[in-house]
Amino acid sequence: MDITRHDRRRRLTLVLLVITSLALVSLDERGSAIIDSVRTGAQDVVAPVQDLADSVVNPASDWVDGLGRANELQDENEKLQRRLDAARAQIAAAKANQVELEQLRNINDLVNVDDGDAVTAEVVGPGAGNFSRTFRISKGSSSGIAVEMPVVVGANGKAALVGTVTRVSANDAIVQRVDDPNFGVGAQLMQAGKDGPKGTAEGQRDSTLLRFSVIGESAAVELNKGDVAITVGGDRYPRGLVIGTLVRTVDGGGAIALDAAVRPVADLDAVTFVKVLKYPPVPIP
Amino acid sequence: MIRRIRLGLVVLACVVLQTTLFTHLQIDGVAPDVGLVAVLAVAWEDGPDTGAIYGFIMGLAIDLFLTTPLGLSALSFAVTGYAVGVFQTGVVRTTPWLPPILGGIGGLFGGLVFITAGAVVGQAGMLSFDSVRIVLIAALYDAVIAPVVFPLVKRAARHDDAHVGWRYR
Repeated sequence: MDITRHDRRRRLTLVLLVITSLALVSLDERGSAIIDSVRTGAQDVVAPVQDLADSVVNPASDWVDGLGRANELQDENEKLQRRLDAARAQIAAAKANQVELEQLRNINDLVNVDDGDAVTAEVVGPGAGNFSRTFRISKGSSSGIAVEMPVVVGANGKAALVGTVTRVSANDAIVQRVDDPNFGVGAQLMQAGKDGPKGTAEGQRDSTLLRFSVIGESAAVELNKGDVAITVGGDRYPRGLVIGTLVRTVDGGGAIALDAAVRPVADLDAVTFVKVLKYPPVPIP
Repeated sequence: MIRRIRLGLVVLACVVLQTTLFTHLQIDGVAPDVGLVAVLAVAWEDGPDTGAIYGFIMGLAIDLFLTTPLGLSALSFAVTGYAVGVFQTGVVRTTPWLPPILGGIGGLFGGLVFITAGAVVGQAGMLSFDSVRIVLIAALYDAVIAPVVFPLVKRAARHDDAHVGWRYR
């Protein structure tokens, strides 16, 4: 009798926890200010510990990477190997600096967007979670960054969209990458410098390419390799941010290919500096 | 009371490790669920009730730092903690291989609950081959870290009156 009652109580505990979890999921999906503030608060509390851990982990991670490269040279004698390693480390550091400098230069003068009050931030590392593609940046709400702001890098003098801010705390923020399966943006193809079809560009679970889908079927629509996808513009993104380049058409289920795979302009795993656009701009009173 | 503080510190440690160290130690873009492995250890020690509640708390703490909806990890960790606790009550003998076996099977079960629940609540692309790949790699990774995590969590989860030598369930 007691055992049955005990079992019932256990099951009741589990059922209550499941119901509470589902209620929280539902609240979060609808956009709850309370949950957002709890998240921000938790991020603020843990951020100093994270920064401390990062300051230990990042150099160690670099060292492990360096060790992996050194293993390739094990047939060299020790002295030469040390010299070679040192030289390689210097070159790698110089190259890394060059890449960072290039990325900083690239995001300084963006011709296709008003970035006067944009915030430049460093990418600290990948975000947590196996089922989302995110990265953490070094600046947060204390620098004026807010949720849903677009995040760009420079590519040939133009602003290329790499993601959008999804979580923000005082001193850092989480950016959802454009190839995250839950990312979507209104897009338009530019075909030989002219306006092409409009549609949506969305991240995909099974690929790091975005899927461009034409809105409204039309026999006149033609999708070509090399077409450039840009943001349509609206409440969340300014018009003209480069999203990527069309690499192939995809069977959209109809007789005409109305879907295409779009490769993001930037290598999203190698981004080191980004610019957060304060968009939409705050109206001047 | 002290035990609760110790278990709370384990939650904090798991959150920090998950959001810092393991983002750099990914295998094919996949990190282990260190929090889930800690829940498995607690559930194995204390049974389904504590397993479910601790799983819920751990999942909720991890959820605060993910971009997936709040409550999704809480749900999957709670169900997994409960399941392992129920399984534990029926086991008579243990083996030194228990942590990696439990880490692997628990990680697989927890991952499958996560993607199923994620798909049910409308997360894009959760039921896909890539998700299954992620769950499998994460489960293997959980099995690898479990022999390190289990003894540490077991120490944190020990009852303050353990010196008495008897425990009633």
